Amino acid sequence: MSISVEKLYKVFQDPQQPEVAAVDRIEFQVRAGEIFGLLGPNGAGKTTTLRMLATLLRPTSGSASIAGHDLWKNPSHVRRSIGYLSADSGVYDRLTPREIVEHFGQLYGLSRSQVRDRTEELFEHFSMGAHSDRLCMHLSSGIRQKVSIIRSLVHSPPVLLLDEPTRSLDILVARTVTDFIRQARQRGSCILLSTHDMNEASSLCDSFAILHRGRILAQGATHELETRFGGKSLEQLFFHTIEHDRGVPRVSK
Amino acid sequence: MFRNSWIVFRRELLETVRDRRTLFVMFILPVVLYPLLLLGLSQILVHQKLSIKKTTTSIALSGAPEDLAIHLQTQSRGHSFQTLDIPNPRQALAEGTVSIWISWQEGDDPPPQLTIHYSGTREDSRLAQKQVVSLVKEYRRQKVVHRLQNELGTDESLLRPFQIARQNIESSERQAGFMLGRVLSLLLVLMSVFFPFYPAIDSAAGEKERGTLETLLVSPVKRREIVTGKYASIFTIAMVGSLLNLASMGLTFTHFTHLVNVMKQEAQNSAILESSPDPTTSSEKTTPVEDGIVEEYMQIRLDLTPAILLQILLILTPLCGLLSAVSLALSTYARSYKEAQYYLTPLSLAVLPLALIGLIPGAELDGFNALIPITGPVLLFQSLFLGSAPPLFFGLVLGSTIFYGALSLHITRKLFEDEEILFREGTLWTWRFWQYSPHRGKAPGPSQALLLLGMAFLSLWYVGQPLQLHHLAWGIAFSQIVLFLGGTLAICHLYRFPIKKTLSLYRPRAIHLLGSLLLGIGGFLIGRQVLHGQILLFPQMPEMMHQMGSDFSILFEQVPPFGVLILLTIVPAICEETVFRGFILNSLVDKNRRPLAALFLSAATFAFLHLSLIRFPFTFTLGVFLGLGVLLSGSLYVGIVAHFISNVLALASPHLPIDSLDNPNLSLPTWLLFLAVILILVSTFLLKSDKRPDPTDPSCPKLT
Repeated sequence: MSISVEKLYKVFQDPQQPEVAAVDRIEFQVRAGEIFGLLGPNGAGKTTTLRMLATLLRPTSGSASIAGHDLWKNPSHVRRSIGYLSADSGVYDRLTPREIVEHFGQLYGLSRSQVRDRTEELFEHFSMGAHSDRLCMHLSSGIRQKVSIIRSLVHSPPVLLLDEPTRSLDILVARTVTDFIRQARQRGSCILLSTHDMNEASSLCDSFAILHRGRILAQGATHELETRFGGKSLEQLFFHTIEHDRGVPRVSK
Repeated sequence: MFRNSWIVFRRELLETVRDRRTLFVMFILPVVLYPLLLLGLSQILVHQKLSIKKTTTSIALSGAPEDLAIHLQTQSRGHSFQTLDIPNPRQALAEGTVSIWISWQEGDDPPPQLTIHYSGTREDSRLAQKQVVSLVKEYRRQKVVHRLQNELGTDESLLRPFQIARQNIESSERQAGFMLGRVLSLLLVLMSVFFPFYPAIDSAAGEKERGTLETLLVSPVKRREIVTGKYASIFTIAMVGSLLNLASMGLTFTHFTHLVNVMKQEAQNSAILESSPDPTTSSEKTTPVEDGIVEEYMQIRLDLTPAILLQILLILTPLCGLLSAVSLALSTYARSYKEAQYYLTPLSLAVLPLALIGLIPGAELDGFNALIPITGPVLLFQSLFLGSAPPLFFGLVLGSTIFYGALSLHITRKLFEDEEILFREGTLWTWRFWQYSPHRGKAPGPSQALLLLGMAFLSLWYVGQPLQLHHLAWGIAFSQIVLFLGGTLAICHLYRFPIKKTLSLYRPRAIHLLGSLLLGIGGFLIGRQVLHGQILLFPQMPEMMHQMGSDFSILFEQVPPFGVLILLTIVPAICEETVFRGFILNSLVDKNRRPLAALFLSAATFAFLHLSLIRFPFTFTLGVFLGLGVLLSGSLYVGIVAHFISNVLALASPHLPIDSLDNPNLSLPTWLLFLAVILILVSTFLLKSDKRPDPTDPSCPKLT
């Protein structure tokens, strides 16, 4: 398994707030060449889950391994194995796309020539053309998002963690991103994608989990779930489980 | 490690040099500011001088002897006076058609009186008045000489049994240092605050806001490598800016002083030639400025030797390091660019008073000043501009500045490792904060601690202290009971915090009471020894304490002895403990995280609210021990008892058999110090056992 999550649990310590688990003992697995969707409304715990898997946040308890590396024991190996992209990921305005990609290539430990070759390869693939050497502040949001994607791919990670990568993007730019996700799957990448866009989820994901208030309410392969819930579409299934959960009183650990 | 830091450093620097704002602050401001400033200033000076020389000053004369008018017209050196005899001189002066009016009233007894009428609000009138005074004095002197010769047949030497001269023993180098040093050291330090300002905001808060920090944190670079790279780039920019600032300042002021010297030299030469009857008797550096008084004329020379520049640089480097680290820490703490600006602006405001201490007349570098951040460097720069600084103080300033810088950098690293600081999101603020329901039944946090501290400080400053000056007993009672205790309870009520839990009002076990007794004695003795250590470092302290301390003897006139005892022992023990160990300490201890930081912070607030910088180390030490007691036992009563014991000992110390207790000039005997340490250790052991209310309760703060 490229991603394996076991009883991952996260509570934010705030003496002024009631103790609420942002992520409540969730478990799932994602294989190489598979797109796994984390589906949920805002505040469901999607970003927290992805941030924990990206080693940005420390889980309160539970464990996870990514590309065979344990989250607790080998965080730096985990980071080398993932490409992380979120809707909030930005680019350095006063650098050119080439400078940004080369900067991150160096941080991932690639040699100068490796960085150069990889940058050329990715720029060509994403048709960056003349944009490669202009300062990012002068680039459109679509090109900037492309730069973010290239940045996350510079070290050829086997696992991609994508946190609502198409949120607030215009339709053409969103298309660039979804195309890239499909191509990554074809190349055998393991992709964990969080989204609250049902269309995006049903067109992209091989399997998914519905996350609400930190807990997984349902998970499985897309067609399998549809069959299990009596032929409901993904959207109907989503609202059905969420509304059912809202009636259930909340239990914290 | 340094490879990654170097990569981050290079990228930060590249970004910075492409930022116009930073470039402006870094290069344009220092390089252009001083020359422009001085160009403007000297232009104005020259213009004024020329315009004064060129214009003819009109003087109205009424009733004056003929030869006075001639004297004014012919003897005015470099000025041109026109005397007018007009019918209504008072009106002419009021209307501004003449600059001054000189009236002469004849008489034998009393003798004739010459009055110079001028307008204090007009520049031309004030200047003319000054110039005419010296001319009139000279006129009077000539009259005297004339009379002596004609009526007594003697000469002027009768009136001058001796001459008065002033000679400054300082070299022109030290003179220049004294004059310019104060201004230059202030400018040097104040400008250093601004250089790391924008790079720091951009580097941490800016990256958070633009979403690039996350991409950096998810790369395999360690957090401390990122901080090192960022810090190094901010520090580099601050250093480049400061060096340019120093160079620009040095060049501009050297040029300026050269100009001033040339102008002064010319002026002095002509003055010597005109006023001294025999130039050979006048020494090269002295010249008569007034009748019979000879004064040295001052030569300004800014002579910075390489050794002095090197020493300035040696201090400037850790100073830039400190300011860069503080700026980066504040910026890391901020959630957004705007918030970082809000945090960093007060930083420059906080630096200003510290720097201005150096300008207070009589402020000199000593063991105490050298350790104050910003103030130490300012005073040291002043000494260096005077030619040298004592090596001890140089070392103290250098060491303390490096220490503060390292501490700030350490804090920044900690902040960078704190996920809650890096990823925290804004909370909603409402003016009706007491109705903010999420607080209901919860524990207070740092913002409520800050609120209470602010309230207590302001009410103490504006109400408590004036009241104490008016009536000490009532003042103390009011400050303690109403302001401290009442303020704390009011905040608990407003926020609906449960009082017992918030203030740790858990009944202590008997063993805790014994522990608190020993803690009170041990804490007092160690605090007392800290006071002695302070006196060793700063020998002038006892006198200052005496001058600044409250004199409690007046209390005995106001209330009976028993009342004094209650006011000075029990009341502060209950009220101050409620505020500092009850509310503030508990607010700062956030669920098992960083209890030591909370302990020291609460002790610092305790010492701060005693409103005496000199007593700070003593009250701080005591605060640490009291806080330790409450944290270990989990009960506020332990703090109250220990505080009470300590207060009783302080009050009773003059009557105790050990002289040194009452006199901090003497060190405590070794056996007593040893006993104090033993007492603290034993009390720690006693207080740690059987913690209240229940050690397994996760809401109960633990000291790990």
